[in-house]
Amino acid sequence: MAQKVGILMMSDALDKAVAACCMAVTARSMGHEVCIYFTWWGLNVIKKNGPPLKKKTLLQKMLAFMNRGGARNLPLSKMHMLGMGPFMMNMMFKESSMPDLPGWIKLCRETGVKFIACTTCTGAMGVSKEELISDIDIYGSPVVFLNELRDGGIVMTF
Amino acid sequence: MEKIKPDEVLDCLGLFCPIPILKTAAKLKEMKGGKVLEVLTSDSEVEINMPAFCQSSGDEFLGFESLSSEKYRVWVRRRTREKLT
Repeated sequence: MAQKVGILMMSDALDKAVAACCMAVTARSMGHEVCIYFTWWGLNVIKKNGPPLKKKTLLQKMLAFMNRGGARNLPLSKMHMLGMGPFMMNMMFKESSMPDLPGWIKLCRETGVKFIACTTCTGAMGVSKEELISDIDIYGSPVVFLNELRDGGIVMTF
Repeated sequence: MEKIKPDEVLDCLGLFCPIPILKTAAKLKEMKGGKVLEVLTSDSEVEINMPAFCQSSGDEFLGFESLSSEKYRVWVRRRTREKLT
C-alpha cells in the first residue's frame, strides 16, 4: 500500500539529517511518496557549502555567520567535539560503505524524494534561494507541506 | 527446502541495512514481473527486513537461508502487476 510520508526536518544535526534522508530513501524504495520539509535549522542541510553573504540586515548577517550551513559543515547533536565527531563519523561511514550526508541527499534526489524549503524561515532568516542547493522542488510555506499530506499519511519529525 | 532457481543474483555482502534493501528495490524495478531475485547479504536481520520491505512494495518474499554467520541469502519474486502509487 503506497502511502504519503512527510518528514519535517527541523534540526541541522548531521546524525538527524542522515537518519531523515535514510528514512526518506527507504520509504521511497518501498513505493511511498515522500516529501521532506526543511525548516528552521533544517534549512542548513540544503544550503550550499559556501553560502554568499549578501543583502542581509545586520541581525541576518550575524545569524548567517554563526549558522553556517551546507551538508559538509553540519555538527553532530552529540559528541561534536569541536568538529572531530563529524570527521570521525564520516570516516566510519566510509569504512562501512555507507553514504555520507551529501551521498544521501544525492540518493534522495535520484529516487524522487520531494524537497520543500520553508519560505517562512527563508524570509525571516534572510536566506536567499541562491544560498540553497539548486534542485529544490518547491519553495513553500507550511500550507504546501500540509497540503501534500491532506489525505493522511506518515509524518516524522527530525 | 525446495531449491529456488533465481533469474538474477544481487551481491550485497558487507553492506548494512537499509543499503541492501535499497539495492534490492532498484534491482527489482529493472526486472520483469514473476522473475526471481536472489540477494546475498551480511545483514543477519534480513529475515525480518526483507519480508517487511515486500509487504509494502508488493513483491513476494520466497525464502531465507543462512549460509554462515556472516552470509545469508533471500529470494524475492518481482510483483506481476504494477501497483498504483
